[in-house]
Amino acid sequence: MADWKQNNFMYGDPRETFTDEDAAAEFARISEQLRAEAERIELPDALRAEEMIKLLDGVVPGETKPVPVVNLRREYAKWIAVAACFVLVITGFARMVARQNAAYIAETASSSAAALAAPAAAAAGEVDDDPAEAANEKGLAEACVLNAQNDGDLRTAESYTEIYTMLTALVEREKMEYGVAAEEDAVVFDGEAKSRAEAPMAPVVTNSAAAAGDVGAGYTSTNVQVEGVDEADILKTDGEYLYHFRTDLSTGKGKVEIVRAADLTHCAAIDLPELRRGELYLAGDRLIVAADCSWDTDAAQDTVGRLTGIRQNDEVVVPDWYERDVRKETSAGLFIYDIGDRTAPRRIATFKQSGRIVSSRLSKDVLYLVSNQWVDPWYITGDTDAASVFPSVSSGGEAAFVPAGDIYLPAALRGSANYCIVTAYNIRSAEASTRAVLGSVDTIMMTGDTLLLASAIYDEAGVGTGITRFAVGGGDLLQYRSSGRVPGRIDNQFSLDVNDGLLRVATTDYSGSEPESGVYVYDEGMKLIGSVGGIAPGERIYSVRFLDDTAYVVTFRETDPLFAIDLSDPRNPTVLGQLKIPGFSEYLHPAGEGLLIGVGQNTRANAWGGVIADGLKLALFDVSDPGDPKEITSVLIGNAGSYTEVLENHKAFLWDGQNGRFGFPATVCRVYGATADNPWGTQTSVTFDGYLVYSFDDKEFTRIGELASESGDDPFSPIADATIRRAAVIGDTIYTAAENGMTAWSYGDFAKRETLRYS
Amino acid sequence: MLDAAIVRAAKQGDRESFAQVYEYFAPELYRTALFTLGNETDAQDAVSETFLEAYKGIRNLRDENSIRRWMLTILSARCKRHIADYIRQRKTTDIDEMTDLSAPPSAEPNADCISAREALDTLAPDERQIVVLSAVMGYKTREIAEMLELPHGTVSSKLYRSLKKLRVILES
Repeated sequence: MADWKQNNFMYGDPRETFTDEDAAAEFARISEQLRAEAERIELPDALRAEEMIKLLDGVVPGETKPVPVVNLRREYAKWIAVAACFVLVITGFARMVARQNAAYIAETASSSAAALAAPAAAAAGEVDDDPAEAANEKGLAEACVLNAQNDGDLRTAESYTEIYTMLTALVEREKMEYGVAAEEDAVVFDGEAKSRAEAPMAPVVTNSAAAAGDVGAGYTSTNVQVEGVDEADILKTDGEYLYHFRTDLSTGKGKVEIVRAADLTHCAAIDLPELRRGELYLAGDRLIVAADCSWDTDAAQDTVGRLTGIRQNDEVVVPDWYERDVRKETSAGLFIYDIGDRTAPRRIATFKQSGRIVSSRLSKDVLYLVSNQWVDPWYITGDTDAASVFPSVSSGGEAAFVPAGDIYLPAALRGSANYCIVTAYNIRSAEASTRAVLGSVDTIMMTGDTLLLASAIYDEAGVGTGITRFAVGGGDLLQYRSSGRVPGRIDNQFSLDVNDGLLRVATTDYSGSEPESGVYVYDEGMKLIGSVGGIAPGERIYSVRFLDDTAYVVTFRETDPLFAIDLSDPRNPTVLGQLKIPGFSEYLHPAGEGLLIGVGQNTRANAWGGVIADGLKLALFDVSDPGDPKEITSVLIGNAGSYTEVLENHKAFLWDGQNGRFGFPATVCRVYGATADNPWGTQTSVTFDGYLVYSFDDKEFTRIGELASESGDDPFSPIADATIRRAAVIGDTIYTAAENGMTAWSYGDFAKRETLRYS
Repeated sequence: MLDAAIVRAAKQGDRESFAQVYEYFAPELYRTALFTLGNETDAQDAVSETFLEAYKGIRNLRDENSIRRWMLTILSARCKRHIADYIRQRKTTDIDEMTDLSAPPSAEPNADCISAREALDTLAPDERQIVVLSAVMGYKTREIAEMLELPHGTVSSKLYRSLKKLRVILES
């Protein structure tokens, strides 16, 4: 292993003359003194619980009503009046139960299936009797809980009433343990359930004019997980122009700046005052901004407010500080511009869906927007606006609810009430296809033909990850395939991969006494076909990269093992090799020909904080023999306090494989000055803030460019909005982008050429 | 020990239970706010704001076991608002200007140990907040970074700097 101390960039060793034990003792002493004083402080009378509770009294007059509970028994009785719907629901459950459950938990499946079958089957045969006896509320709730292990398949809802009941059951499931409170009339929706329309006519899709990720085109593009599937980012380029979404820090408002690269002239700015964090897509002469926004007041709010025939219950008391204006609710928005004339971009379409953006992708002119809508439980038990309870979309200002038949319900209720909403939006034809799944989503992963939605699940079985799989890119823009539960939690989108139709996922399972990791392989129906577990007990996954038949997994507690896992036989994943080194990689990038680059942090054990980060670390791994991964070399950058956005966001990493170079934004700090007499004599100062460019070969890294962010009078205090966040290379020039402007530098000697300040 | 069942009941909206949950954490909340903000009035405001926010939002709490951290996160956000006010009042945008890194420690060493609170007062409010969460509440820098929505590196370097200053003052 190369001696990293020689391979450093502003790395100082602050441990030189004092020990970590001394530092720990100092910290402990200060802590003790602070704590002792804190203990002596008395809570003022005004803050006592009895006094504070009065703050709530002032808000709800009189005695607080117990939180109203929807009694499922009552619900069933009401369903009798809508017999047709009801029968469909019950037989639906029975059908669901009969479906095969995932093989790897077959034991649990058979017992839960039996538990489900009895009440549901009985109910199916007794349509006219009070089904409350057959499928009593407890049975249903239990059945739903028992089935938590295996999702089985999702099915579409038959009516809004059904969805609403499931939402209610979700909230009430826990309440039932504490006894049912006063019965109230339940809210009933008579709105028509539109059954799932036939697959929409496939619009003609043409490939994007701009070739994404094609270095042969002479410019760099966003560092994406899957080639051909674009991900949104704040900086985009088509080789001629640069497009930058930025926030004007003095006003807090968002703007898109369009700059012509050749002479760094400003062409146009698009004001988006209500957006603060947006990201861009570029497709030929279309520019798309994806951001959280609010429903416009001009989005025909009234059409969103009510479905025909929905009755509301006016008798339930909702405390007035809980009132919400749906118009101010966050929604996930797409703003599409025609930039045929770069100096005059014009907005040609707007699309919104409820919830907050989780992520998005662009593939073959179809933009996939995924949002998560949290349903406030207050609105489940007493509603003033159906828009708070069901997902809705708005296109060009016209709003509508997502049809019940396009909403998927899980077999098992779990977690809190959320919808995961996916829209496939064709940016040429504006055709949109939306599906919603009752369940949350926090991570997505997409290849050319598969979209995965994943979310953490906390349930009786411990901590798992729910995955819902859609087929994309075909004639049917979006088609549900399967869903299931995977043990453990994923790290980020790189923990998921689809290869030859098989889903591969790496997770850390926290449910035991210590965490341990594993890699699992599922088929298209979410049936488990192979797995390897028990990897690195006591540690958790920090980064993953799937490359063809091998998975590289980095786990960490004090040292960083890099594991190579062979997936060539999906039924039998095997750990091939591991390498233990200090520090850990947060991001792994394939660098061709058996090489892997890791960007992460260096660490050292410290008695007081556990393990502390001590600077950034770049590592070059030789993985040509996965059975024996080796670290060829590594570079340390700075000490504690050093940071790069790549640690959290892979899109901040700039890849120029064709030239053997890569870059990333960095703030570098140096810590120095400690001595045995004065262990606290350490000083930390920022020694560099800007963008670093490295070249690499199969032996080493070479730092070739240090592009400093603009600084004010104090070189140690970079101006906040001058901090460089991204860079793009076009030809022989590298352009860096900060919130307040762009700078062009030579890609040869990295001399600064010119700067453009945004106004 | 706070029973998870009480937290669960508070999540359902039971005021009695919420009052118990609050009572359990109130002394800690107040001490944290007082050490962070440096004066009693603002500390009381921060705690009562936290009380209301927590009551409104406790349904969102996913995991009962993280109730302490959740409440301290809300408190930290309320404290941040007050800190922002201090900065606006002093018409300063650069935190570093508020503390003089190059100034020598206090010229008159006390015979008695200077109180920890007085030492904390010499720090900038955002540094105080981090020190209190670390040295008094016992959170790791990574957790503090999540609670305050700051980069981990910023938290680490501020903590180092602050503890160094504190030691110098406390020893004098």
